[in-house]
Amino acid sequence: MIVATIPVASLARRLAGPREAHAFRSGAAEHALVVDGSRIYDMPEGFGARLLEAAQRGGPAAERELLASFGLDREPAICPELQAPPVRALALAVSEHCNLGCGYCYADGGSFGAQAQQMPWEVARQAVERLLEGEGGSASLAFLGGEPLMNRKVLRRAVEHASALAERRGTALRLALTTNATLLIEDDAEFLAEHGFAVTVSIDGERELHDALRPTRGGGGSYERIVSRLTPLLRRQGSPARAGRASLQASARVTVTARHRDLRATLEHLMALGFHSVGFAPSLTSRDPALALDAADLQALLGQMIDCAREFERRLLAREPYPFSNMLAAMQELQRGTHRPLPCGAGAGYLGVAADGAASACHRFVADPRAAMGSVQQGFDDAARAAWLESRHVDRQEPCRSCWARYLCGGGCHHEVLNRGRVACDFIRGWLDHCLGAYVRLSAARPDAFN
Amino acid sequence: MNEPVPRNRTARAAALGNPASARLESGVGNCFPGLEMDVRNLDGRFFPGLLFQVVTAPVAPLPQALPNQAGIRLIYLDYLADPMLPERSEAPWVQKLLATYTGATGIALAHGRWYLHWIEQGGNRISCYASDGTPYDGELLWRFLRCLALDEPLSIALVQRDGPDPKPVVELAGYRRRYTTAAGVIDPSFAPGELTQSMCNPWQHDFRDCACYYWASNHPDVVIGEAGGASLPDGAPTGTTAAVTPLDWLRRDRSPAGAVAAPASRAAARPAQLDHYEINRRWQDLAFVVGGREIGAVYEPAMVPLARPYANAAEMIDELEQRLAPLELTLALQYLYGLFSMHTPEEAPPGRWPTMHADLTAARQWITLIAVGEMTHLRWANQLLWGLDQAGLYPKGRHYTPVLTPLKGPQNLGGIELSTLPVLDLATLDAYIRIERPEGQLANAYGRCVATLKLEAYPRDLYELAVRIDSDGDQHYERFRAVRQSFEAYAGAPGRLPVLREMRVGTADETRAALAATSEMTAALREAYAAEARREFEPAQAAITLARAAMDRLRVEAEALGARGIGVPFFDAW
Repeated sequence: MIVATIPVASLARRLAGPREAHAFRSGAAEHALVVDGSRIYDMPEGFGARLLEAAQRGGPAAERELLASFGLDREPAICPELQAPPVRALALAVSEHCNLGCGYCYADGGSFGAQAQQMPWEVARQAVERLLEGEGGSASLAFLGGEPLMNRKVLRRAVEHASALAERRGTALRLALTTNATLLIEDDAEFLAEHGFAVTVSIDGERELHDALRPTRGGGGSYERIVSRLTPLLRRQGSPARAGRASLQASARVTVTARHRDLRATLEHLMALGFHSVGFAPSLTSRDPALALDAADLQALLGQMIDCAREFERRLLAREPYPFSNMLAAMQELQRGTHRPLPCGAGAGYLGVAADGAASACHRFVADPRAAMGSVQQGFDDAARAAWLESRHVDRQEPCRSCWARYLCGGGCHHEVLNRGRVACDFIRGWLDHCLGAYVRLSAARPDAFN
Repeated sequence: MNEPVPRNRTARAAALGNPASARLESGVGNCFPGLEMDVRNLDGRFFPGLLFQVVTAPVAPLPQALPNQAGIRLIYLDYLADPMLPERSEAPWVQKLLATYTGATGIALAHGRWYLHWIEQGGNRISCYASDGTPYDGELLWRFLRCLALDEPLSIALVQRDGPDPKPVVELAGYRRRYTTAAGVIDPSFAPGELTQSMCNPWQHDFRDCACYYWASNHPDVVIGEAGGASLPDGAPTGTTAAVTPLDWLRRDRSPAGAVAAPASRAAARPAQLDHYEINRRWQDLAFVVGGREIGAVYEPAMVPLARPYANAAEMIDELEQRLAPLELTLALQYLYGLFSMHTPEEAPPGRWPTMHADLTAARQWITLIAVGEMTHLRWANQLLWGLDQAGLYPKGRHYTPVLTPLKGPQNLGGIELSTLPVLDLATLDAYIRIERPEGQLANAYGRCVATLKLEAYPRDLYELAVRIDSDGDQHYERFRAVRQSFEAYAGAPGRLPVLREMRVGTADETRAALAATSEMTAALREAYAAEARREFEPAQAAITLARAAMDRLRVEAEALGARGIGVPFFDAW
């Protein structure tokens, strides 16, 4: 079992209660997150106690009254009804096949539980043309899988087609690839750099850990192969290959399992490899149940995440690079006051496209009838999207409706929630509570850092 | 703190009142015209229900003026809508004040000249008079008002100075006003415009006259028009005419057709300028001016790449000793040579070139200023070095010695060989412009000093000194460009530029006196810097006086040689 570095149990007790605001501390001072609009304030001493008292005495109405007494009442920032925006982002499962056999894979090794397919060029072409129907604005095209590089030819052709089309339409196109990097060759790196891709490499940490979690189909390790192939990619980060294009960025994403015992070491190991940033995603649903995190694991994970966050804070103050992307994203979102009724763009502006052209809420829902949303051949199903948004609104989720973190979290990954339920709520609240305190400290010390 | 302070963007966007950058406490307000507010106007309402004015004794009072006008004078009672004095307040002090204001005392205060008599807080009473009975000046008393504590009982007395003897006195008790909320909202007792009274704000019609011949701080008068943005590789703007045409900032015709050169005199400019009442309505048409240039809708400062700090103090010291300080001296001598290669205005042939007299007067003035500037930089570079030594940052075993030698050996910079001494023709001017360009090599060298000295290990005053050198070069660049501009008019003449003397570098024999003066000057400066580094300021000053005298002799000698077409081979003095 992993040893937590903070008293998580006492934290959990403090995190339940009020739903209209969350009182937190940064050192000696008291602060509030006003849930509606994700507004952050310095508050007078004793605010937390008053908020808790109000919540217990009169529920949300009494909480709102207390906030109003501080002049913090505003028109609601979150609309109760959501309208489906135009689709401006697609994830193409160009290859549903994968050459690795990771125990936790949501895609069941890429096949999504059925016969794995490769996306034909015709489907990719239709997807690209649907995405870039309009003029101007911006659009995102992502390649996920399976392992997208197993269908390199279609991937490249789709990118060339999309780039040319976007240029004609005056649309700013962002390109992204999630890969296990086992098939990456120098020429791929050149191609990805040329097009300014944001590449996410799935890599789970140090050699031993990674090899245990991300084995090849034959059970062998994949670490050595990946690391040897990363060099040409990492070397091309930085300046854009062409004026007006984005520059290549390669990030590492770690799927955190119960086997991860020292996240800080993992984080720093991957940073040292030269990634633009490194982030953690907890494994909540897993083909191999031993790899999914349970409540105790999540408590321990929170302690380790906070340990990494503290190091991030220390490095930021010392003006040293420490690209821990979970923390960086949290700081940027808190700075902006991001407030969302949904966890992500799935089913809204973002859809996943299966190899056969079927569209679903996101790349994780390929071939899942609960989230089917038309196809690139027949067009996207706007009624299905509208119904999805209606049902997925965080204000209609339990226990989200009464959680202070609802507009920061958005209700959690749809795929994980629909398959396993909400098992990580305390973890998310604990992480956000820490991030809020850190934000207040860092925004005072480095007001320039998160703009 | 009793009120929430917004932290992130959504909280700030939802906040009432002013963003932090526009709050009173982040302003540069004082009581000086031209700044954003007059702080005295805040304290005019320090006591609930009353409006005061700070009255300063006139420097040269008219004989018929009333004596003893200075002090904190009551303007009028203003309690009806004062948020500190709600009618239904349960605070006894509020009810007592309201009763006073609305009763006989209020009526008395409405007549005659009432002044602050004393203030009392925490058992300390400050009288408003000097020991001989003269009223203190308003600005002195204002400082006392600034020091009043919030949330502590405050008593004041008012006296009617024009009342019968014994002068009537009214005592009042209350609290000092809190001028803003924690969120920066200004107390509603202040009327719109009240805080900016007496300031030169664009929407106040006498702002029109706040030009450089009127107030100490003022609006721009002659500016350069908004640039197209494009510039040549050497930094010169493409639209050269627009880039150098001085415009009248107050011009009434804001269209491109109105962008004609500003008239040279105030009287000639006046008819085409915005009038007093026009400026009330059109102040928002006036352009922001940055660096002498009008700015369009959005100001986008040029990106200045961050310089890389030197690895350590030793590396910076080597660079200053071996390169930067010698370079400053070399440039000073180059520019001096250029100065003496120009005709004097008196030598300008009359008739043929009607503007040459004026052009030479200006060009000689500018080049002199630039050369003086380089000598100043030489001193500052030395000062950085002795400052580093004083701070114990020299490498072990090494100490500061004055650097007063030019660069050794051939050195090409900006396309010019620095070990030679060229006359100030257009090609030479182009090279100097490249050398002094704000993004040029020279600027970058000091940029690195700035980046290094900004680090915590270094004394703050050295950092500020480096910033001064770093930013001072821009003026040189502008001045060289101005000289080049005026010389272009003569480029069509056959042979050498008519503004230049027929000049060659002289021999050591011909220029013995001038070279001796040069050597004496540097020797005296060496002594002066060494004395300053030892913090012996009197001998340093004496040596500087000697250096000045030598410089004067050098000028006389070099000018006489120049008139004979002989240039001083400055580098032979080393």
